[in-house]
Amino acid sequence: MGRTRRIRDGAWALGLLGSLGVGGCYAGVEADVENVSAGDGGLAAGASATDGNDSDDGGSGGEPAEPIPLDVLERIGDAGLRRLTATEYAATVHALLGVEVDAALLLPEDWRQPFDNDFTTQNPSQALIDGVELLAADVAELALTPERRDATVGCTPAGPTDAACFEDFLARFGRRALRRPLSDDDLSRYGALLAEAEETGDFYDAINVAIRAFLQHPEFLYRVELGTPVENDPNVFRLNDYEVATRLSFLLWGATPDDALLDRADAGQLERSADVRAAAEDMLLDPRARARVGRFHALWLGYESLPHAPSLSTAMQAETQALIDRVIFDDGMPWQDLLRSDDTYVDAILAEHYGLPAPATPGWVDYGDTDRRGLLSHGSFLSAMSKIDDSSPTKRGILVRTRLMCQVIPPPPPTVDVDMTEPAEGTCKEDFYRQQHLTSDGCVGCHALMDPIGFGLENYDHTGAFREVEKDDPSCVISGEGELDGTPFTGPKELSALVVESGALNRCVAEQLYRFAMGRSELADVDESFIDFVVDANGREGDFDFAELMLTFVSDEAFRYRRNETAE
Amino acid sequence: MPKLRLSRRSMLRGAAGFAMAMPALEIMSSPARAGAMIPKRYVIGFAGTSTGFPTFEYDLLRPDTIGTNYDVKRALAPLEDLGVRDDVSVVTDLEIPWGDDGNIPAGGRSRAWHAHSTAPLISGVRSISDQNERPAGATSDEIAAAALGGDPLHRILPYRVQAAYYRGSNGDGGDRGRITYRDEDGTIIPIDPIHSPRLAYESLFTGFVPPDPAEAAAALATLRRRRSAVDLVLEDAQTLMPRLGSVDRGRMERHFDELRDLERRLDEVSTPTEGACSLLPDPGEDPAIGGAVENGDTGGYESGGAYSDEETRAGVLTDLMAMAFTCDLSRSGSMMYTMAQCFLNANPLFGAASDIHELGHYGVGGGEVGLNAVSDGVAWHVKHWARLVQKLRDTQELDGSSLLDHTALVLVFEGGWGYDPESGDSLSVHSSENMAALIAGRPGGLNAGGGQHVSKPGGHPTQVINTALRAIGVNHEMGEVSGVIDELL
Repeated sequence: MGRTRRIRDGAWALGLLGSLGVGGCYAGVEADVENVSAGDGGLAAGASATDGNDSDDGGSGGEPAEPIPLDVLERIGDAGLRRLTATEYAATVHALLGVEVDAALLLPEDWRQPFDNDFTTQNPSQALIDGVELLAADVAELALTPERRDATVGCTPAGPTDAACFEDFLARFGRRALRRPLSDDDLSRYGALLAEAEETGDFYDAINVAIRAFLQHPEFLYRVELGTPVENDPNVFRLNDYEVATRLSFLLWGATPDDALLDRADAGQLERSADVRAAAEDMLLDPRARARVGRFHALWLGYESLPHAPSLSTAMQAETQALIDRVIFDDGMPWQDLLRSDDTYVDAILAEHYGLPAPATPGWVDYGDTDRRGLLSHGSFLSAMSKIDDSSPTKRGILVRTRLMCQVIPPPPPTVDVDMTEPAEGTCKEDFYRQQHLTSDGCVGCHALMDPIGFGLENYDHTGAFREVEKDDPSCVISGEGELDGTPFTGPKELSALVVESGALNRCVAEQLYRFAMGRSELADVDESFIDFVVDANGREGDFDFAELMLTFVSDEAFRYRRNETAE
Repeated sequence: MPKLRLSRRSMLRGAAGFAMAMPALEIMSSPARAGAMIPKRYVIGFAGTSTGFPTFEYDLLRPDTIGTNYDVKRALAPLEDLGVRDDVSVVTDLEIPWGDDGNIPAGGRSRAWHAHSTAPLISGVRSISDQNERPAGATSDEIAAAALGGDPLHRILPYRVQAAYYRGSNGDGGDRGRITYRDEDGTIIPIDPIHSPRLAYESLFTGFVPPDPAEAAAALATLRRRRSAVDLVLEDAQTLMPRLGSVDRGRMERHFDELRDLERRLDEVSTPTEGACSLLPDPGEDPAIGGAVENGDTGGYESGGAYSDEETRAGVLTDLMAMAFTCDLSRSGSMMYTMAQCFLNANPLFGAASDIHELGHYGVGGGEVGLNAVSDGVAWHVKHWARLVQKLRDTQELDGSSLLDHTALVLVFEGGWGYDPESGDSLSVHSSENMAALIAGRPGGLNAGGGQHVSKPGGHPTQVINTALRAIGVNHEMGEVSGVIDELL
């Protein structure tokens, strides 16, 4: 290669110190990186456990991997660089260093689509770069407090320039942060940071710089997947074991792989479907999996942030999380039991809100003979997509159709003022909706799909509290009579049964999981093929086990491949 | 050979005797020549609100008097309060045309209202469609930054005061939370705003070192660490880039471009000891982000929801932008005070228990009460924008001129009042008729006779932006909107 570049480590420092008349601490640390090739240094894709260097199944420039069966090839979706979301960033630095940061304060907001990890919406900016740098400084400072620094470093330096302790930290922390072993070149270059300790006489100053560097590194900030091109499609790449570990970890834990998972990658124990499944089964036992599955549901169904008093919002979110934990993790029950549960987890505040018996301590309370059953009767779900200070039958219909059944509802035509949805005085809300939406030729086509669903939930206000009359006019008695595709229902209990029987649920859950897992809301044909494969394996209708769905998902061969995005 | 930079920043650096490879230049001692070198600056401000109130055939922004010494009503009262009326011109009776998808006129908006006037307003290019709020062209702050050049440390300062969307999941509003867009080879890229005062401060004063020797040593040590970390990361670009697919490579190139920019800023060490350029006090931790409040939840507004102390945030960001211009750290900025369809709580700002958007929908009542409340919302934006004008006016350049002599500032509003094609109402706030824009500064003959009120029936508000660009010597007309407000130049 003709490309030549010489890097002077600490060139800036030399210039600055020179101007101050100090100078010299970086003198002689000049690395010749001429002829850098794709296989050199930094990215130890597929590196072995022993030498930290690239192996034959390394990066995208390596030898082609074995051809893969056509049916697998046809369900491998596009994958692009995915930046950690603010939530993933915070969870990852907590996993790495045990420190708590609110990354959302300094990082650009992650757009909800409804998931927060759609990489096609992520654009690098100065706000990102500066926020990441400031966060890295904050984290380094928190990690190196006198109380915490021993745990951070993992060894006790014999002196300010204890190279062995420093290298031990680099190898251990760098492997976790970059999610692959550091190469010899990495260790050499990062090892030069010990000069900072020489300059200041403080070993931890060098650690500080190293943490800052790792936390700004693109392989930390982004999930970089390279892999090896497959023989029968140059645009498809087989991921190495570290990349598979990373996919698993961010999907199931929302954070970086731990040492045990990286150990599996070191040992080549993520190469086969059975290996991946075994690792995933273990990971699902970890509490982080519960939080991650809970977050998937919260983003999906729109209750990540609730517009109520903190005590009420927290209670609602805890209620739904408790049900998810019980159905999916504790009892291993069908996912549909989320919609069928006869009891619910409440504290005294939420019980009173619902009109249920208040437990002495937060616990499970039977719904009794009410129309409540399962998640669709939770305040979390009933609060989502509320229009204003009241429920919106239309929006609840949209929620059920688009999020739970994955149907497409066209947006309102441009001649409709979506703010003008308040009934005139003396007109009951349901009558208003029926007159405005269900009698006009231009409206009825779509609103007939939405509003009748919402009518069946109208006995529950925008906070999930039960009511018999309308908020603005007590003379308007709520019928609570709804309809889904021609079948009448009343209340969450009957709606849940209809949704379960609709036949749309199983594929929709898989589709939403796919969006979340791949970090992309727009789906292509290959994505649909993967989703169909997973759905067929778990049953297109009838009950399914969500944990098993995830295990099928990650253990499919296609999960261990990626397809290069192509420019539009 | 050191690069010859004749900006105020380099002059300051030279004067302070602290330049890294920056020689003290003879020109620095010559006010006349230095004056000739004083750069132009540009700021676009955005207020996510309409200026009128339903059923009213007037607003409390438009002065009755045409020309100079215009009268100031409730919405413009801060101009008088802050003593900047004569520095600010008001252009009224403007209009953004509208049309249905496929028939949207040049520089026009779609029929759908909320946030659909913003795209043509800030880019001059017609809306993409009823379902797309993103501008189809670059915005004026980007165009100004590219044209003004000078290679300042911060090419652009995209600040946003409103900390969160305050509805639904309480995110940052997507395209409603941005007014800076860059054209990259025909693709319009949204630029993330900086909404954290702390981040804005840390970012702006990256290279500033206190004059005290002990403090300077500590600051330089910190800078050294920061640079060492960034250096290492940039080195890895060489290994990573060739191994990425073309689309990912494009993403990563943008990432490394920004990182190299940070590296460059870390290189530029200066001690602000000359002129008005100084290190501002550290604003400390950011005010907490307020939660979402749904419309009609009066209790939520009364208890301080949908509010993240935007009053303080606006003050800090204003100070930072003014100082950035003073120190020539940047020459172009955007100040998004509120997002389109602004759901910011008005209660802590001026005692109206509603959000800014709902004030225009009888949030605190109808009639004069409603009109006054909407006007107070407009005035809150005007106050902070006027404060920036005031700070720039009262800051001297090294040649003794005012910073405002070299800066053009615009404030635009999401809507006016009049016909709403969505509802068919003739007096709605969902309207791009009767729009207004404010313009301040004195470069290029702008406001030469003092601030004035110009009525421009049928004019497009983006022509005010064109005027500001013309005033700073940028001969660019925004998107599909041509022409300037001749009376102002």
